[in-house]
Amino acid sequence: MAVFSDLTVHENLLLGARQGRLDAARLEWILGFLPALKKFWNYPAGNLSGGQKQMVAIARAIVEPRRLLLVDEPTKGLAPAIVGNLLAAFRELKASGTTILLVEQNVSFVKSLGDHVAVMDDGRIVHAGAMAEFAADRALQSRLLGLAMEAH
Amino acid sequence: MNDPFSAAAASQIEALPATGVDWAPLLLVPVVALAVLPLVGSFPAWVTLTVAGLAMGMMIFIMASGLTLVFGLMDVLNFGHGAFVSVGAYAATLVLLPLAGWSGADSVALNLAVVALAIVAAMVATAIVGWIFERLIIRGVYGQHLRQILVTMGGAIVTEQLLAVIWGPDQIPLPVPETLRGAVVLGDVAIEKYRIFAVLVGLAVFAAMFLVLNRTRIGLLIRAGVENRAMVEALGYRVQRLFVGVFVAGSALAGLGGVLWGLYRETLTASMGGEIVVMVFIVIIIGGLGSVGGCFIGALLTALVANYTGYLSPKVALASNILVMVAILLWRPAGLYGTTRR
Repeated sequence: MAVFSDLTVHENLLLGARQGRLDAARLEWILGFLPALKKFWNYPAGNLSGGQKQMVAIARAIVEPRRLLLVDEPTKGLAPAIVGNLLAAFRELKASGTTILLVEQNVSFVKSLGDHVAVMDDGRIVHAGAMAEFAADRALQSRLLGLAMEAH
Repeated sequence: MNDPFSAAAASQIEALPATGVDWAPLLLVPVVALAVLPLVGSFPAWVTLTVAGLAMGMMIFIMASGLTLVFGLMDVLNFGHGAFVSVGAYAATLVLLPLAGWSGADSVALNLAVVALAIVAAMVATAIVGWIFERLIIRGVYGQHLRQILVTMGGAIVTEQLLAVIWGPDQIPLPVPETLRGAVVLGDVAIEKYRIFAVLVGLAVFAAMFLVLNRTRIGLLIRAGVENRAMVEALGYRVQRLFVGVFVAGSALAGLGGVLWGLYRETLTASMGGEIVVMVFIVIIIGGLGSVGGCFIGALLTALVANYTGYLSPKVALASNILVMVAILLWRPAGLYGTTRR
């Protein structure tokens, strides 16, 4: 996910808002779980760290309600505390009726969010099914992912 | 979520103030002007040189401002931009020559009205020519620089020849209205009124562009598009449509520059735009491609340095534009305010 380096955090978010202005309540909600954005509100996004840019990109994607979100590795570069915040926020988005297509390596993040799961290996889907089944089947997880899940 | 980054904690965080403006380029023009004062020696001569340089710089800025956005937004190198300058100046004759009575009248209102009408006519004409140019010539060569250079130069030649066909090959005299003739005398210093007028128009154009780019949604999209066109498109905006608007507006500004420059020279030739387009390109390279603020400083700087060197050392003046560009690019290789893209 990339941001506009020459534009401020505020302007980056404005570009995500198709109606041309930011909804105050929704913004408050976003800044609640991505507080660094508030601090750097008037900074050019190019001056932020990798994780902070990631937050700008996430915020821009959800600055307005959407029916579908395509998200590629949102947790990359984020501090664990922020990942926790993000998980809660995505749960809220999901509860509000947004469909989320998430590509993610962080399995515990995925397990606590998804309804359905597809595991890809070498470009092909090698397993597809309900997330609850997948999460409960430790043997399947270690076979597919080649990892001891306890390590996560 | 009981951690220090919770919503309650977030509301405690105060936004940091915006980072400061990059001052160094802004100081360039006043520093150069003041540094030259002792070399010139005579204060009235220095004022005359400075005002003349500022007036010329403002006219070049008006012509260059659209071109820098056209390049920044769509990566289009338009060497035909100079032809729009000529078209603007010739279109102005449609108003200024029939209404020569207004120009010569002893009335400030009539004098300024005829200039305003000429400017409107020039901007409308060049906007239309620009729109046709974009559809006919530019659209086929997006993303191909070599073809852009060839085909836009060809378009410029055709446009200039059309001007010669319509208006004839002879020079056309363009009288300056009475109000803008002569000079304001302050003590030992005489300042030509027309130069003051050009500076005021240039400042107004700069202020208007600054406001549009920084205070409107269209401006936000233009700035974002200059930095990363693909990402703006990914957010669901049609940059192509925006580009046509910027191209037409940039053409209209070239037309405005053409009127001002034509009145400054007081004669028109079809090749007048082609003669100045090299200067225009130098200015947008100095400013940083896509940066209106950089283009403004670059235009003032090159015009001032050209005037100062012309007075102090006429031989050096022949190369002054190139020397300024080399010096600036050694200091800042992407131009004064190069964007962080690409």
